[in-house]
Amino acid sequence: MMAKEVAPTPVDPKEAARLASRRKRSIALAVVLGVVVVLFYVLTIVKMGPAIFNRDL
Amino acid sequence: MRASRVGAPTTRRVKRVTYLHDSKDVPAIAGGARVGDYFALLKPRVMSLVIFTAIVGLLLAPGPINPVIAFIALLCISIGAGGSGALNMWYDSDIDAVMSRTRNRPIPSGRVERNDALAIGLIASGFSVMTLGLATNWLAAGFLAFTIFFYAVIYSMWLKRSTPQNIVIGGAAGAFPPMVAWAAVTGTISIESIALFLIIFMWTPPHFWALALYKQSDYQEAGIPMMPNVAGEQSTKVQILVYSVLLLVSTLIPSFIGFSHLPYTAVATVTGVWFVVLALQLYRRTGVEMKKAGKKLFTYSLYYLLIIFLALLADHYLAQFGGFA
Repeated sequence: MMAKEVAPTPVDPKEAARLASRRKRSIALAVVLGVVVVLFYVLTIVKMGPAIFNRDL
Repeated sequence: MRASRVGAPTTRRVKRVTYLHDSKDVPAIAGGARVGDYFALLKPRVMSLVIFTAIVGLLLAPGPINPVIAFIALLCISIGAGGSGALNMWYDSDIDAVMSRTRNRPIPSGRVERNDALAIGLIASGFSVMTLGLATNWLAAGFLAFTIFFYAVIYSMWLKRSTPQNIVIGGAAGAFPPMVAWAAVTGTISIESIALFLIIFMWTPPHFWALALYKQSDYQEAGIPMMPNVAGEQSTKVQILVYSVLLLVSTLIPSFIGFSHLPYTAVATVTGVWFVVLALQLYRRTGVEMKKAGKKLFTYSLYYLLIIFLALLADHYLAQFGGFA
């Protein structure tokens, strides 16, 4: 069975711009969150320091 | 979000929002703020000054600091400055809309909602203080929190609209970052870090009053009691001159307390005397010539602070690596 072809929905240019901005904001927010996670990971490792290796295995 | 009926043509209606002060360059679209608009909320130009003076504070402070921790401390100080900038824009959006210098800022231009700015300001401030505390020490974090409070509440909400001494007292907020950085390394507040504070503190009044002299009408329209609007041009010029002399003296304090040496003293003296000369020129001029002299002093003051802090740094490393006795 063939899928029925749907005509593209006309989008207001302002709405298109708004959606594009929202998408970019979401990506930026994801990047910021990722950076925060990496930052805290690195901070934890640095705070533990080389003494982390001085332990019984 | 409303689901459209199956088979029915989808028509998307855009809620048209008209703002009083739409930017001419970028039309305001409800919910259409760009990433750059949020970044502009953090006042990147102010942040660059904060980052620079904090780097100098970090490098001049005695004692070792892990480079990664130093980078995180710097990041926290920058984000804290950005957060306080966003809070300032949130609170001042009404007067920003009136002044030509600020009317294209994200909130008055309609690109960012006020509440978004408030949320960003609070989150950035909270994050920066907590992270600085975890990364370095809680004195530095507390100091950063106080700096943010001072700028957002004491300066923006209280002093700015109530007294012509607004930027004299409020200038302390811009002068704290090297002290915060110093505290991040040493865990203390010392006479040397207070000397760094004093330089920026004394630099702020002549810097902003020079700007206010040639942007007087802006501040008048917004109802901000800047010194030229309240005390008059003559009184402002006298005070600029007085603060310029005090600035010259305060830049020599590091030399008096043995924190810096001959190279810095020479640079501070020459550039400081030139600052006083420009302030004197401003004092003698009126009308259009005065505005030109004000603009000249304002521009010079930007380079001046850069030179003074770079000279402190260069002097420090020259002494450390045996460049001179």
